[in-house]
Amino acid sequence: MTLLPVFYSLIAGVALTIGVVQLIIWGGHNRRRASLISSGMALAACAGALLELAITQTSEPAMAGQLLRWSNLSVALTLLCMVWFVRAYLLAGRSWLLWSITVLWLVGLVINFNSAASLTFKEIQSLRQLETFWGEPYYQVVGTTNPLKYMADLASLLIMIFVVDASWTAWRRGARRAAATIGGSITFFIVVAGIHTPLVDVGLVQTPTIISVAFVAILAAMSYEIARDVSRSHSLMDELRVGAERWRSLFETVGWVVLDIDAEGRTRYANPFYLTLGGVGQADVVGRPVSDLLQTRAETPVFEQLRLAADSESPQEVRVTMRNQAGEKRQLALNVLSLGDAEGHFTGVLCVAADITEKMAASQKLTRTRLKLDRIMRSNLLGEFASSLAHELNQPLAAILANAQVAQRYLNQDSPKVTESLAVLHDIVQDDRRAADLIAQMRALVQQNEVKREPLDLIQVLDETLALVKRELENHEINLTRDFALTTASIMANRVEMQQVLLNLLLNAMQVMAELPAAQRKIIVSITQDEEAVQVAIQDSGPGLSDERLETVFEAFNTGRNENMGLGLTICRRIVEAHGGLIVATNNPEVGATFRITLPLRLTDGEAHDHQA
Amino acid sequence: MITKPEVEVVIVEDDDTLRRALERLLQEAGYVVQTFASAEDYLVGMSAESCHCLLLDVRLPGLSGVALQQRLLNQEKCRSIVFMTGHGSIPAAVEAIKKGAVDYLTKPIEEKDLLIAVEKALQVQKSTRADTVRRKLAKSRLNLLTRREIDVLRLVVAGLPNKVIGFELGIALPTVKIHRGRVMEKMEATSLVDLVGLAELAGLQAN
Repeated sequence: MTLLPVFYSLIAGVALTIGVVQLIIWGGHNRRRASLISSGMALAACAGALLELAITQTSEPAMAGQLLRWSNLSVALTLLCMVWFVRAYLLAGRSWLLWSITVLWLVGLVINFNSAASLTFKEIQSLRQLETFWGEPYYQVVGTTNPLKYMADLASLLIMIFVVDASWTAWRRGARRAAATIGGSITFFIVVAGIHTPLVDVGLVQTPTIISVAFVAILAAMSYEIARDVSRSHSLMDELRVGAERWRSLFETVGWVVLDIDAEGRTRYANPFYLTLGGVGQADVVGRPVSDLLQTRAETPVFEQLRLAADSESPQEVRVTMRNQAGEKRQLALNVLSLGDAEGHFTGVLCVAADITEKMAASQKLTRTRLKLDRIMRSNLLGEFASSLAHELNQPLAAILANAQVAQRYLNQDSPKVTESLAVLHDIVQDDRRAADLIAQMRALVQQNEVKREPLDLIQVLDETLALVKRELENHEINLTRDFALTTASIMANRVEMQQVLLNLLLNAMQVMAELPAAQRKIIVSITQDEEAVQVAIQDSGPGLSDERLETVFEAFNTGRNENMGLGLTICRRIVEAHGGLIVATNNPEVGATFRITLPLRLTDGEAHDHQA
Repeated sequence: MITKPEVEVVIVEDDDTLRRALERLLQEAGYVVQTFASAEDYLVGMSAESCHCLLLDVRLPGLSGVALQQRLLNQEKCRSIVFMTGHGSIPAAVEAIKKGAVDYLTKPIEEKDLLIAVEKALQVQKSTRADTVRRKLAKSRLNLLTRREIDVLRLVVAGLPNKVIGFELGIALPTVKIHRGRVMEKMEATSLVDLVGLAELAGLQAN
């Protein structure tokens, strides 16, 4: 019966198979270090099994000594591969232990190849022929134990500690099954081999050393884990493939633009919706900078904007335009996602965008309609004011008529009163100009002119506006206080718009006080400025605003009165904000409300500073 | 004492050129004109006794034309008012006329309309002034009567025959006749109708 050669060959074959399979797995697609290491361990174990077999069969002590040396090498390689595998696979274990084990074994190997016999025996005395329990004869080396061998045993102890510690760490991290399989098998078989081998060495147990068997058992456990990983990664890949397919079909059928941009801002992928919209092919866009595809009105380059949006904490929409082949503009609202690889390196951005061209057009139309409505509302609001203006206009007309008739009388005499006529004509000319001015003002107020901004003195505009409402104030018996802390305030604004705002606020202030006794009707107009801004406050003594009204007073159609004033303050706010300013409403401590307009001072050419000085 | 000719027309209008134009026009038409830019100036500047035609703008800064009219009405001044307004609204015009304004002119005012209105106003004012004179006269005559004579006059004005008057007052018919003769004499009435008119002018209550 020659079972030993069969047994060891079987072990070696299994080890070799595992080694080759792992090598194939490593070379195939996963390139994981663990696979390569386990392959190395398997090949070393394979060699170890064959060497162990050779030792049982040789009858020459010198030969046995040599074989033992090489066997020790294979054991060392197997163990080192094993611990490094644990590290690579479980991603755990203490480095100092790992390196201690490695150094111990390397030292051991140096000793192994430089001592008279080997790391195991100081000298080999003889070979003893023994018989297995089934009666097969084999040889066993008899010699004096090398004291340095305990270094290897120390290394084995450290291996135990290292593996248990690493497994425990992995277990705690949640990789319980892998920790149990690998840590458990290593611990178990090392303990078995660690007990068995010394017993054999001292002759207490009569079997050949079977370290390689333990190794193969460990390898089997390791391979099981790796194989599981591989099969799992296959199913994951299948899932991924299905997922990718799903995403791809989503990208290809969805009514949104999908663009994949790489880290350099070049297009990696554009979905069919984009291609159809742009009237281009995939080949036309792939590799092109994103700035060729999308345009922005902002100064920041498109890609920079996309990156910023992708990095921002809150979801941000990026508005861009794209031109199709025909040169038509489409408006897109992009949502951007930052892409990164497993290590977290930025690999690009994924943009998903809705075509909002029609929506924008609709909203613009709405805005236009609203502006038109604003204008109508404004003319309603100004109805009272307009009638006052009509009265103003009537004055010069009446004076012109009367003067003209006087002139007729002066001149239609035997001795015409020429000197007096000249004075009359002077008055006529003056009144005519006055009428023309009034008409121009009226037109400016009602018409929507092109909004031109020019350097203005806000004080002057304010005084002009106060002059316009002078009559209204008198008729409503309102006491106006002009509390100006400055004599000039230079701003960049549109004169008519500013007048509209001030007029609106003044008329509002007048209206809210209509119910009050005349003695309590007061408006205080004040103007102040700091380094950057000028502030106009129009304070009334009316009933003030409720908390709710304070919040919504500038919103459209939100009026406390049953008059067509719903947009007056909305217009004010829009104008003020268009000028980079701010309008706020507050209640006064005692009575009434105050509307404050803050407008940026014009400081560009130092004119404002000159004025201040 | 009075060196200046008596003012006939006063213009209160805040618009400078219109005020000047109206002044020239009325002066050219031969009126003695004085102008003011506001109701307050007018109240300060015109002597309380002056009787004239007041050409008054409805909308004035401060005291308005309508308010001035009300004030003049309360003071029973012998002044006739012609209103001028920028946009004539009928209710305002009716209100003004009801309160005794002579006319209501809408600017721009035609020369012809202005002159007609002023002339009419002057006439109204003159007749008002005449009425005022007669009223004062009647009142002063009434003051000459004794209490008994006033009692008799009241009953005469009520249209009662002498007999009934005697019965009412508890006096004899001849006594009634004597009283009545004295009343006629003191009131300088030429007839019964004249007496009734004078009593009314003097503000005698019928009963």
